[in-house]
Amino acid sequence: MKRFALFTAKCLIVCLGTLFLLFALNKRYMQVRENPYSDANKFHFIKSTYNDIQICNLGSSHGEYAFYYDGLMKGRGYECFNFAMSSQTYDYDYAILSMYRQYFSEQCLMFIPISYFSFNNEVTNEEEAQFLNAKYYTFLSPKYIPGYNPYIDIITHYFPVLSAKEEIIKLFPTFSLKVSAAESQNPKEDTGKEAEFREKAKNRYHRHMDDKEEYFLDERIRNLYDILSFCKENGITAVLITTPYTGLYSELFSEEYKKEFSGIVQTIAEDTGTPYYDYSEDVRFANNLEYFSDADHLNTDGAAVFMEVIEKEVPEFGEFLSRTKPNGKGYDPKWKE
Amino acid sequence: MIFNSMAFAIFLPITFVLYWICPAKYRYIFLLAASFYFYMYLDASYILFLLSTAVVTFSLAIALQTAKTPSLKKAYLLIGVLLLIGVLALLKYMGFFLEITGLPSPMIQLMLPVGISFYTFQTLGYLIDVYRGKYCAERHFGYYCLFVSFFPQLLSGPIARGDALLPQLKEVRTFDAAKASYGLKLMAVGYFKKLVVAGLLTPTVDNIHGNPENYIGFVYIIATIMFALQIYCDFSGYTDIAIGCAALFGIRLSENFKSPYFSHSIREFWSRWHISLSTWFRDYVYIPLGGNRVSKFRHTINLMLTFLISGLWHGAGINYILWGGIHGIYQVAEVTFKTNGKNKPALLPNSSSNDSQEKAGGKLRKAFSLAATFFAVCFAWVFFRAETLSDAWRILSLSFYGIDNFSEYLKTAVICLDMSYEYMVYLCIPVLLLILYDYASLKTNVIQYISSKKIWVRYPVYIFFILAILLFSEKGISTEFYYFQF
Repeated sequence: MKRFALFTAKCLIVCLGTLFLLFALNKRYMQVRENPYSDANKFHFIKSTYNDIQICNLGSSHGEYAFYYDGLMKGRGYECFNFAMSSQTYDYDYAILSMYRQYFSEQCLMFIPISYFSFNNEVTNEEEAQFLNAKYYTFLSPKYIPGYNPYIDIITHYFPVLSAKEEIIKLFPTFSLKVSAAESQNPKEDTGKEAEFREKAKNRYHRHMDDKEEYFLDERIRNLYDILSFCKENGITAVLITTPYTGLYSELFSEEYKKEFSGIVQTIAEDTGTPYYDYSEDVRFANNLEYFSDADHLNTDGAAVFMEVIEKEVPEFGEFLSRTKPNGKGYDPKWKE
Repeated sequence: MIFNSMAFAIFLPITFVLYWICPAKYRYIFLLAASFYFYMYLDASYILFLLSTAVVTFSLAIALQTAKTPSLKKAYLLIGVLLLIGVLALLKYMGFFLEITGLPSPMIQLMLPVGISFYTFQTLGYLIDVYRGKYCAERHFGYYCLFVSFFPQLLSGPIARGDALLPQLKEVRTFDAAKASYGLKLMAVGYFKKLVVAGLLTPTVDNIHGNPENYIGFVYIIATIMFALQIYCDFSGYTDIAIGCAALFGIRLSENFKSPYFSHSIREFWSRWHISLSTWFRDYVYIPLGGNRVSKFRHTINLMLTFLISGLWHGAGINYILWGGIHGIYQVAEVTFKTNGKNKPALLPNSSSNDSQEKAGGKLRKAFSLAATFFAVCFAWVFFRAETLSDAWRILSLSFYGIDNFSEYLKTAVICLDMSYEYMVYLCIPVLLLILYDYASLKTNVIQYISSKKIWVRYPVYIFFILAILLFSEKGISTEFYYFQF
């Protein structure tokens, strides 16, 4: 028994030593890292800045970059919020809606972007998906997080060094400098915008479409129905919309796929009485690469044009603006920092 | 339960403490219950297959030992072999057989219990050993059941022999701190291999092998080398954890890997790779077929058959059979073109495999034979990993596409891999550590070497190692061990 106790004590010493060093490395890492969840920062300002959101949108990066509310907020005083974030799926859209339901105006207009890949999962491994969604642990309450995992919560808040991956190299400043120097000696060739977009379009297509057993998951479709029911129950006017893509991106999807996608969206729209507008292949955007930052994401100029277009062409949006007075709250730049 | 799960992190310390607190004569019951829980945690119904195997082989072993006539003995053995192989064939190979014969699939989907290939072979080996009179049949069902279900080696080996494991399970032991300490360190090495090296390589390998049509050229060669490292770290990592875990309970399992990629011939490779399986095939397939004590032609047939069966054991697919066949051809070629004129048995882990190294002479020749063996093994891995034969063919035929413009050939691969410099460095550090560890293991037992150092040397090494596992391990990447599917 004595030998057993001694062995256990030795193990504890090693564990405590490891923990001590881990704390030290973690502290250092938190000082040198770039916040990987910076796109979630905007949510921290909702409580202090917003109480009556009039126009907003959900969605993934397509929505994040397509809806540009500068003009509506700064110039016209509407209270707007862009809830979209990169790779955001409908279950997280729903979680965000549930968490921030009290911040919506009684008459609110909400754009719900539907992308070609909205109904499948970017990653099929559940654990990998949980780590990809760690950013939600920084602002959503545990009860709203789908498949809440306390381990990820602890890592995200207290031990980010454990999920640092290659960023861990930042703990060693000398090395990072050498890497930067090496990179600067090998500048990437400018292969031309079109070629670059084409390459990115392919990569994105493969990321979203390869290795998928099913492209239109029932679970995702159900999530969208849930969001639309939520909107109905809370008096929110929902508008389904597919944002513009370059032709380089759209052409990668087969006509059959687009037809099936369109059929599913039309069915949802009809079932729920929600209007749907498809700008994915709108020639005003598809052939104008200057409106895009890459193959499927609008840049600021493109987003500004897109907002003008939908104000004119989406009756729900136009009517909303004409009948709803801005609440005067306007733009608070804090969240953008 | 899998070794790299939170459930196991809770299960093991509790089992370890309770085992040593438990009165010595009841420990086997406790270990048996823990093993059942460990297995049933994956799927409770799996236990039915395990128990049936244990009951059948336990009874048959006693029956064949007490049988009065040799023909009756043979009959009992035959029943055992047919039952065990029959169940394995039905569960694992039925679909494959129907697919290649074009027969309609059955309406019922049969489940394949995890680890069935391993415990089937372990019990089959036990039956044959009892038949041969190598040792007596076990008369205590509790101990025998533990022999079949001992949790550290239940899911993916090492495949234990009755005379090695059964006496250890019966032995009344006192706690041995040195053994337990060695076990923990070996487990740490295993976790490093699995969670860090294999974990880091898995996404890239899966990406390229999952969609080979998206890639071309040198990237295939990189992916193949990466897979060679991935599968080694995955499986030898599992084995290290299993052996280390057993050592915590004072039980010694047989070694399964000995730096296989430092082999100078395919024969040597097989004396270092999955040793418990290759010795199993040597003792129960190759030697009964006649081994090398037959004509050259028969010897060739024996080698080919053994490796084809080994390939089939790994999985129900043409690619696995081809993989086995390629290794068979390698072995036949080595025997045929052997320069010293001796036709040594090619599948003998304990044979004098170092002879050829010693005689080869010259560092350059050694380096060449090492590289040639590694690439020959990698060539075979292409078939093992490819999802279809056409994928394997694509990878092999287009691996050198564009090599005439060498700088472009390399550049395309770098672009295809889409890795930052930081990520490449991050990837290389653990791989280099692994190569160093394996190289050092050729000369000495690294764990014992470190353990013999002063406290201020060895403790920082332990802490550094655990930190490396915590910081570099890929979280959120596929956690299953590759060999579970076999």
